[in-house]
Amino acid sequence: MRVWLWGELFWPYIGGAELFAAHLMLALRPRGYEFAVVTSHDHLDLPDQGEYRGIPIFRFPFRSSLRRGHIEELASVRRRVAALKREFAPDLIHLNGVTPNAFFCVNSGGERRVPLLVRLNQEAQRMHAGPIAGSLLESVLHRATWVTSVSRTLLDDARQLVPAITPYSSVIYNGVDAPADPPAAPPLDPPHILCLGRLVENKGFDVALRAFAALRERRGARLIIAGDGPERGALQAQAEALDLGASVEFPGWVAPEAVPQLMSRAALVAVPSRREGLPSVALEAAAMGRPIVATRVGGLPELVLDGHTGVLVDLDVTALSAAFDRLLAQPDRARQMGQAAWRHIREHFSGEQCVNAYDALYRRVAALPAA
Amino acid sequence: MLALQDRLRRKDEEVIAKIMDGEAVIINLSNGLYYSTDRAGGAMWEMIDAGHRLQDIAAAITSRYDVAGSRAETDVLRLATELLREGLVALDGRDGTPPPGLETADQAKQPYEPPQLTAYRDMEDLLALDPPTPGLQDIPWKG
Repeated sequence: MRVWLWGELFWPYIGGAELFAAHLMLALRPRGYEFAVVTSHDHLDLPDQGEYRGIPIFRFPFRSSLRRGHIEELASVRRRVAALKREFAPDLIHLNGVTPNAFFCVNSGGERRVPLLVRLNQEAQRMHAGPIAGSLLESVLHRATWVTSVSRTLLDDARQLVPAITPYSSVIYNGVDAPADPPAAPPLDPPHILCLGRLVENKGFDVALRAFAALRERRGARLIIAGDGPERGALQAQAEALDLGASVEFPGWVAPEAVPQLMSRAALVAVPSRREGLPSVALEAAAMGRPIVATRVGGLPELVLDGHTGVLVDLDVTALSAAFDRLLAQPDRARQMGQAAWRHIREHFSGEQCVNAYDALYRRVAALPAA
Repeated sequence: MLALQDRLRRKDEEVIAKIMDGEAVIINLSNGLYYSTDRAGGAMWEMIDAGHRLQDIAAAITSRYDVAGSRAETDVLRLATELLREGLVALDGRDGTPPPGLETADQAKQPYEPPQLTAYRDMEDLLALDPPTPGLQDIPWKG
């Protein structure tokens, strides 16, 4: 089966959606799938055509042509997409997240309508902040042959917005490969609280900083805010203003293969997001046997079992700080939660379950008529 | 209310459009809204844009597509009303000389689907959102 994996960005850009796509394609390729990635150019100067481990990547100026609004440029991009579609002849298009370049996905031209599988992640939450009627998200959902969501909460939201998708939509949780044996307990001298992700407003790391500063007893704890992004300068300035000094580290971007080691240093992992789908950092933390302190947003309550594998709080400095305090004061309890998180991931969020679910759905959707 | 004798004109200064594979993509530059049509809608848009009377457009559609004349008239009027409501076209009145007649198709009729004008009202807002990875350096991805 030939599949177009259509995403906002792909290698060498990196993020949850890009990693998901890479893992899925590499896992499905040995099962007889042939993939090509269709994606946007962004700020890096990259060629129109590239390759990731033998998977062709086709980059188009989707975002810039939409932003400029030059009709001839839009037409040119669309012609190139249509030509590629004729040449590759996909049996299925998998739209990995609904972002502006989905405009080209639902208007890609060509004689043949191809079944469209749409995966909703947290981007969809940003998009339906406004009215759904006459929106790109509505158009994409109406055109979809099948809709998957990374969480039940997000799927329920989408079904409420466009009830017509209800019979052809489902949840497929992201998965992660947890180690076969329970990971070792973290070193507690000193205990580290880890925040990891893109340094953007919706991750709520500013709240984590304030909660850390408000700890009643710091017990020598340190806060690591790992990752990079537009909020980095503001977060560093905030740490200075809170007089947190050397107790906060900003190690910058972390390579995916270095994440487990970073997780193993952490006594607990904080996911204080304002909006989320099902963040890979929470999956990885649980896979590494770390308790999670997370906000009750998006799919997090489906992944973090409150009081069992972690602690769920509202997005509130006092509540977050109290949760940090509680787990730092009870390292044995925190370790038990981490072990429970590891078991929960192995049972319900394994990488194999996710890949098998998409394998089965690809075959089913490719056989359905395109809308 | 529009009538079949009416002609419309595209708001040239504000609206740009292009037929791509028979479908129309339309941008209203004054408010940043994007629109698209399907095939029959693209054909109708092209004829509306050329200044033809709605009744002539409906007749041309009937000759090209497998659709009854009354249905084509209803659909042309509906699409024209939507375009007018969206501010993409203006009424050109019933006077004046319409452009030369529309060609009728000799070949086999195409299957017909009612025209659909799809609006993307949130495009400008979406594009204003931060791009997914601003400011990151060129990083190797060891996958």
